[in-house]
Parts: sequence; C-alpha cells; structure tokens
Amino acid sequence: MSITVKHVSKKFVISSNRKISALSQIIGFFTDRAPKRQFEVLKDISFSSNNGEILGIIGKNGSGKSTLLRVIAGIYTSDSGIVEANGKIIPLISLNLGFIDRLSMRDNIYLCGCLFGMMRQEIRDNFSSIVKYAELDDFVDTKLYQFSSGMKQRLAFSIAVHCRPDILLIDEVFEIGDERFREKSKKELKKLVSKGTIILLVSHDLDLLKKHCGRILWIDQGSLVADGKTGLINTYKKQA
Amino acid sequence: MKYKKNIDLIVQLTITSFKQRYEGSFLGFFWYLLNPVLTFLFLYFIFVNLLGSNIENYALYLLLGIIQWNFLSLAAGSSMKIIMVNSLLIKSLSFKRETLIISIVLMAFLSNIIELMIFFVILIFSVETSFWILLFPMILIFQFLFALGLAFFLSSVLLFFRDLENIWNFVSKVWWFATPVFYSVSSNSNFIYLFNLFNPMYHLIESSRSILVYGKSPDIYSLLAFILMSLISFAFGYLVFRHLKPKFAEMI
Repeated sequence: MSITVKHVSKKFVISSNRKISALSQIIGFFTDRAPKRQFEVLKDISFSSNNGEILGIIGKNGSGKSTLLRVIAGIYTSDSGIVEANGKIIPLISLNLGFIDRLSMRDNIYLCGCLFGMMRQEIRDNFSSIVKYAELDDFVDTKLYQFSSGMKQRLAFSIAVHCRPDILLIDEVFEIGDERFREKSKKELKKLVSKGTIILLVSHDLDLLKKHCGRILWIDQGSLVADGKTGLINTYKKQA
Repeated sequence: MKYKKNIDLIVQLTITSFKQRYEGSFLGFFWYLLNPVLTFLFLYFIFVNLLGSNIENYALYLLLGIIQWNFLSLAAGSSMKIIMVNSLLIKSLSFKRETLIISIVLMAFLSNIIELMIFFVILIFSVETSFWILLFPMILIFQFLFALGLAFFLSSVLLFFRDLENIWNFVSKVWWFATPVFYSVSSNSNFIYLFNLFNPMYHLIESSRSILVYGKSPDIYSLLAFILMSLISFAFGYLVFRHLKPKFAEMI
C-alpha cells in the first residue's frame, strides 16, 4: 500500500461580484469564457507515504487541508499533478454521510456500505460485525431519525472500518461518540496502521496529532510548508 | 469487479428510493396505482363527452397515455434535483455519480412497469391482443434510454443554471398539453400535428397505443423516429453529464 502525490495544484473559480447580464452569462457558460476570479487552493503539493503510518495534516482554516483530502479521494479533480494510490481509499470527510433518517439502520448499512464501494455480499457477511462494533445490536430495525448523533457517528465509523481501507482519509471527525468509544476507535486505527493502512488525519487537535502521528504535513495557504516529525507541531504552535 | 460494485450500488440506491418514496405513508405502495387511476378517472369523466367520443376504446387510449406520460414526468421530476439533494454525499464520497441518476430513473421505470401490469390485466379482458404486443418490450427499452438521457441532462445542467427548474416546470406543462394524451391529432397539417412530429412522447405513446390498444402494427416511421430521438437524448444527455461531472462537488 502506498500513496504518492505529485505536484498537485488546484484552483477554485470564484464568481465575481460584478453584475453580468443573463445573456453574457449564458454565452460564457457555453464558451467557457465567463469573467472569473481564480483562487489557488493548492499549490504544487508533493509527498508520498508507504505502508502503515498516520500522517497528521495541520494548517490554519482555509489553508487547503480538506481540499487536499478531497483531491486525493477523487472528489475534486486537480488542475495539474497526479495522485497515485495503490490500495482502496476510504474518505471519512463527514460522519453524517448518506444516512437516510426515515429508513432503518439495516437499510442504511447496506446503502452506505455500497456507497463506500462494498459489494452487497460483503455487507451481508459483515453485517453483524458492523452492528456489533458500533454497539447498536438492539436497534437493527429502528429508523435512523431516532438515533442520537453519537450513535450515527459510531455507525459511520464502524462501516468505514469494515470496508478494510488501505488509505483512510479523516477530516476532523474524531469526536466519535463518548470517551470510551473514542478510545476504542483510536485503538482500531492503530490496528489498521499495524496492518499497513495509511491514514491521513486532518485535525486542529494538536495534542491528538502529537500523540498518534508519526509524521506531520504542514500546509499554509495551499503550499506544503514542512513535512517532518511531530516536532513541527511545536513550531506551528509558536507561530499561531 | 468494479463494474459489479457499481451495479450493486445502483440496486441499493434503487431499493432506497423506492422505500423512501412511500415509507411512512398510510397507503404506501398503493399510491403507485392510485395516482394514475385518479388522473385517469378525472380526465375520463371530463373528456369522454367532449373529446373522446370519436376515439375508439377511449378509456384504454387515455389510460395508456397517462401511464406513459407519468413515467417521463416521474423520471425527470425526481432525478432533476437528485445531485443537489445529495450534496453532502457528493462532497464526501467519490462513488460514480451516474449511479444516482440511473437508480432514480430505474425507480420510475419499475413504477411504470407496475402500472403497465395493471393495464395489461384490463387490456386482456377488454380487447383482443395481437402478436404485435411482442414489440412492446423493445419500446420500453428505448423509453428508458430516452428518460435517462433527459435525466442526465436536467440533473447536471441544473447545478450550473438554477433557472432550469422553473423553465422545466413550465416546459413540461406545455409539453403535457401539446402531447395527445387525452385527445387525438389527425394527420392534417395543423399546428399541433406539426409540433408532434418532433415530439418523442407523441411517437412513444402513439406506437404503444397501436401495438397494445388497437393490436396493429405501429407506424414504422413513428417508431423509428422515437428510437432515433431516444438515442439522441441518451447520447446528448450523457455527454453533457460527463462533461460537467468533475465540477459537481465544487458547485454544491
């Protein structure tokens, strides 16, 4: 399992405030020549990682951390550069993904599992294990709107873990359930890492990163400023 | 393997949209039938004395028209906002975007099949069917392609051009009145007839009526026109969708 990010850049088009007529907007839409302001979110980012490590990604709000994860996951297309991933990428960017409140937990597990790229047979085989891991055995046929947000998060995490990710992208979603479940999920991530999974972890919780990451990527205004040991966190703290 | 995963996803999404559509409603599944039946009864009582009096087998003529139109309207209406409604999903996962559209159109298609099965029961008891009925599955396939192309187009363009929803609401209303669902057009060269030569829904409904209600061969030019229009709709819709797809996550 490995991931290599080479010279990735990404621009967002920001609509300008200038008033443009509907006609010129339509013409612009079809000719791709509408007046645009561009904003560089990622500038020439490169790094790579092999087997089993947790990379913490730090940086201020709006520095491009989430965009980087989305480019790696294939949700955004990069303008230049490539992402080479050898293994299954599972993005955990939001923990409320795809759950449909008016359907039962059983239906939701099948739906989310498929959205994560599992086969129906795989889900069937893992079903009881997913439910058990999320500690929701008593609620299999309960509609999801009756779940607390903590229960939903546990469920999402459990499904993601059962997808057997090779590369796991986590964006600020580490407030899963209560203290006990949080410990359990951390243990689970460690177990995955020991099996070779690469985890990219975006977080503002610097203590958490210091404790668990082997390596830190520091992003500022879309550029990779530093790539190194956890000592970087201290430098980052001083600057902030 | 990847292929199979996407099929599994489409199946699961279709099941979900089926369940979601009627979950929690008291009559549940029966709404599938109630909706076309109520429209039918309403139009039948209004028009049987006005317009339909000179149309042979008007009840079947009307019912089939409503069922076919319902399919298009359900497929287009429910797929149009599907990307927008699922913005969170699109922004946080990288599954094939096409699966969302295909599953919604499939949901409408299966509802259509259920309605058609009821129609067949009535049909068998009221008129003599002919071997031309064997042509109908082929029409269904192209009907699916036609709606799919339209759904691809509407759902993707809507993200970039939000006015499309209002435009579509108006256009579909005009389209419904211009299509001979509850009346008939004869081939004299009036305005409505000329319009309908370019109307895929006219060709679809007319061909289906010939085959099912009147047990005769469909007008070959009409059938070919519909097939051609479905292929164009599918190809054009999909190309537009594919072109716009990479920008979806940034637009919602």
